[in-house]
Amino acid sequence: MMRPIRFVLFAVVLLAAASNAALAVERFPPPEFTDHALPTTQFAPARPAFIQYVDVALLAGGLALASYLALARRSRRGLFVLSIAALAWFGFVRHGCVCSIGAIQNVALAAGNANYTVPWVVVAFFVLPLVFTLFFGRTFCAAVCPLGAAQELVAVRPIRVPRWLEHALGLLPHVYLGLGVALAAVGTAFLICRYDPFVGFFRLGATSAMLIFGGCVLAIGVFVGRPYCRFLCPYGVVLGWLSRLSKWRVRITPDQCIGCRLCEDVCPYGAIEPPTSALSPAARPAVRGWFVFFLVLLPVLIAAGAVLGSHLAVPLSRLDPAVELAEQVWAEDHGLTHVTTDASDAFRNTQRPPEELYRAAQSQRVKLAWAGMGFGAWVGLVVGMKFIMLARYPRQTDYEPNPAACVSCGRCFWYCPQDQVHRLQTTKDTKNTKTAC
Amino acid sequence: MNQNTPQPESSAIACLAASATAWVAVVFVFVVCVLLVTDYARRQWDNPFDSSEFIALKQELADPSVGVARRDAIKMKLRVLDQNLRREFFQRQRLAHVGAHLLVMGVVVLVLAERAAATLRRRMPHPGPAVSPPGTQQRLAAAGVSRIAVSVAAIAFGVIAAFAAFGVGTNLPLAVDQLADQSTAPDQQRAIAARAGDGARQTTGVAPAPEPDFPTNEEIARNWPRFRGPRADGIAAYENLPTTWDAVSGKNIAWKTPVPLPGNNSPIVWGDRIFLSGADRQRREVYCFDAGSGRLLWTREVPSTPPSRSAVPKVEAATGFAAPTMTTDGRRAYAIFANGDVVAVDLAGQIVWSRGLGVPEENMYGYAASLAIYRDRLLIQWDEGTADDKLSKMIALDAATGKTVWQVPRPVTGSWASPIVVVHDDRPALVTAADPWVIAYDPADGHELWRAEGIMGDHGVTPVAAGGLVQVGNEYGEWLAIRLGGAGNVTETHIAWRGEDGLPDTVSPLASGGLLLLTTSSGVLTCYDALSGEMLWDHDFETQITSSPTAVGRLAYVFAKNGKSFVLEPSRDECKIIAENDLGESCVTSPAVQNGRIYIRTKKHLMAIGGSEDITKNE
Repeated sequence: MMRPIRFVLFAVVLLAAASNAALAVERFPPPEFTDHALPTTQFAPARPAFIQYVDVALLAGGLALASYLALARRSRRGLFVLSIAALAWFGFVRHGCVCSIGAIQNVALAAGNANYTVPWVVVAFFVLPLVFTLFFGRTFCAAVCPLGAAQELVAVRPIRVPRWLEHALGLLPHVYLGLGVALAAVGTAFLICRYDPFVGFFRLGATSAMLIFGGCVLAIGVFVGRPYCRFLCPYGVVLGWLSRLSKWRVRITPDQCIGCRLCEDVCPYGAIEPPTSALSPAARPAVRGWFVFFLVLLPVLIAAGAVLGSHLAVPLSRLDPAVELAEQVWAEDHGLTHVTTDASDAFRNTQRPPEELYRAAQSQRVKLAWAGMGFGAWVGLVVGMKFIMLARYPRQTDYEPNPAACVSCGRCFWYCPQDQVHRLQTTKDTKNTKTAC
Repeated sequence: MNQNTPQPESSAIACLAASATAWVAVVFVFVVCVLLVTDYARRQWDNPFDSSEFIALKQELADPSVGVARRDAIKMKLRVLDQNLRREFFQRQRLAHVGAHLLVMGVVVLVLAERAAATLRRRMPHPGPAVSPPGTQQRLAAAGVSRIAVSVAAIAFGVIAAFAAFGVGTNLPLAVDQLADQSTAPDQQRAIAARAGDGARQTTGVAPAPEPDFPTNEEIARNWPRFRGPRADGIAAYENLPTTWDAVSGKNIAWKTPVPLPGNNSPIVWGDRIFLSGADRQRREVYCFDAGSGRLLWTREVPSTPPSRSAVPKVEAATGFAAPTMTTDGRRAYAIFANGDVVAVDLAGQIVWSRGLGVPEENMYGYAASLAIYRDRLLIQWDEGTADDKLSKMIALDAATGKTVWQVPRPVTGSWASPIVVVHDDRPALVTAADPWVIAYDPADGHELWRAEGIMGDHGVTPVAAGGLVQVGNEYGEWLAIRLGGAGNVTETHIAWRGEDGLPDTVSPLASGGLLLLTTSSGVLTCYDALSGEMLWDHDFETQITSSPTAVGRLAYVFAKNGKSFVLEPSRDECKIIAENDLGESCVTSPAVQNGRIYIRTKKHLMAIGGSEDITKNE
């Protein structure tokens, strides 16, 4: 049963989410007198060029420090302080942009459009966390990502999500990744940035919908640890892959696991895997059968996804501003609507022929059909691989963090008696060394 | 340590303090939230422009019977009211921002205090009795439940995707051919035309289409309305022209008038008016001269349009900012400049319309294609970049309004040649040339009639049509004589002959009397049999030539870059020089010919040759 403080917290955070609308950007209409001279549009000065060098240097330094704190010092407190610093700089000072999560789309766009060049700073934000993850696990998520830091801060009353639900919801970030990449590659939209739940807070202003969405993510984050990181973050998917391959990564114990089970329930992100028993000989044929079945099912799922995805051109094109404008102009020209939009009015003012717009929209739809096919195949692959992974029967003897799911937050360190012994020993050694000197 | 281990006293006090702080923060955040939500709702519902006073004043202002003095008083009241409403609105908005900051601070304190309390309350977990790891059956059962959950999620994705795929409709046709069918439905076309005409939304009723207003063929033939004359072939309708002149002494020079701004465009003539354009980096002007006296009748400065205001195009000095020759239909004169601005001025010098087509930044020498006009369509060959850049296009504007009638992309690289309209078997064809295609379009709607491959490199030679052949080519490729009347790709079927010698790089050809004269910029004139392609002779003027030659009866007039000008009588056998004259200054443009007069633009002047023995200087 939920304690009273939880009700209060939940109510307050939800109310805060609703009141975020007060921050929403509002425009006041210009005066209506025809002789009113509209002032010349003022543009904000460009960011100083050196800031991007500072950003990249801080990112690299933050990743190095986070890796050191997580793996060498095993300092949960250090990681927490670093995450607040990252939230302050990359979040509130730099307004959440550029960020590694969104950089996926720039890379995808560059892959799909030869005329687009990814800015070097975006490449750095995309690549550096991947490189660090390859060596040290997801230390980027632990203390450098401002989105992770915000969720880490509010995760004060986390509950455990059932494993079966975790597996099902775990498909979402893969789907989001596929969709984000597909839409970015054809130049339709940067979906991941459009639905960034926290950027509105970082900038202290956004549409009401964005702020309410962000508020809800934070409200859920009080009780479900890092909901965005676990069930939406597309970059986390890539980091999870690389973390499996990482040379060094966070472990619960700095020494031999003694099987005390003190850590088994402490990870709010469900990343700690318990020891497993050996597969009984009687069950082997069934396990093998399921494995082979899902192996055969994989290409079927990919093909089905590709076929279904190829029919998504029209709904996906609704996200494309050019196609949306073409739809509107067509509807206006064919008497399907009597209401114009700002975009269609602006298009009329250019005096460009609508046919040009229609053809461009159709061309974009063809690209989106291909992108949809790729997206569908990807979802089929993800579902198929998930089935195959669930059909495996891996053997594990210790309590170990799942490398793909562990965000290196260090919450489990404190609960490990071996860690406490290790710390005491280290402190004693340090004192002895000082005395000897 | 376990759950029953008592906390140290200091820790308990700190925990209590943190919890109390968290509760204070909860109350604070709650109050701020309520205030913000209330204020937001008030701002949403209290639209300042819905105030009864505001509405009443606006209604009174809309009443046509209200006198001028009262109207001014109402306007003043509205302005004051408007200002007050704005002040109040922005004050509320500032308060909202302060509240938002307070909210963020409150939430931060709440979270930190709650975190601190949670840490201080932290207990070691107390696992139950030791159990062996879950057995095979338990794990398989758990995996089975997970598989079911994943299956449900996958099916949910599939259902959502299927609903999206087959449930989200579109008005826009999915196929290009459907687009063509539907977009040309007559009633829709009329609705579109009506809307385009007044630029306003119109959903009921169809405005009657205005009667097209364009000159007759007879009118055009009497004038010199575009680059190289009525048919863009450099052939004059008049033969009563002088063959000798000397601008230094003034012999046979009727008048000579300075042109204010530079330009490499050639004069055009309609009635007694001559039009030219000139431009530098900052200014663009259109000039009208009196053909009789050479007097500058008016100058119209052409202001920048929004697309061209931000950038000055990069152009070669030899091209300049006003290389394209103007055109006229006798109702208006039209000019285009290197920055992509097009303008129509009436014969009195007033701007009828102007619009920017965008700065042609991928045109490496500077935009130079002259304008063409056919009936009520102003035709613009806009080639830039490479074929892969997909920047090249053919544009047809409504000459009366400047609105785009049609526009088609062109699969060609940048070019500097001008389009021509050829009428063959009573069917007009808009012929264009650029690497690699010669393409003919229907000037009515822009659909392609035929194309032939064979143009290479930087192309600046304007084609001509004579004897059923389109003659075009340049020194980087070969000369093509293309038979008119084909359809589709006619490269293999309609090339009458190909030539390789004496090919021009910039000068346009002259096809007259069965002969084809090609001129290189180094001054070599090569004569071909226009129908068979047999090369007949060549002649070296030993001076640079960039002006395109003009035929007057059996004679040909050639103007060299240094001002020397030659009158020839070409035949199948020889190039007979009739006269050699002097303009007295550099000339890179082509002449315009009218009754008894040749109008030619030199580096700084416009001059009229013939019609008077005494020079009239309009300095």
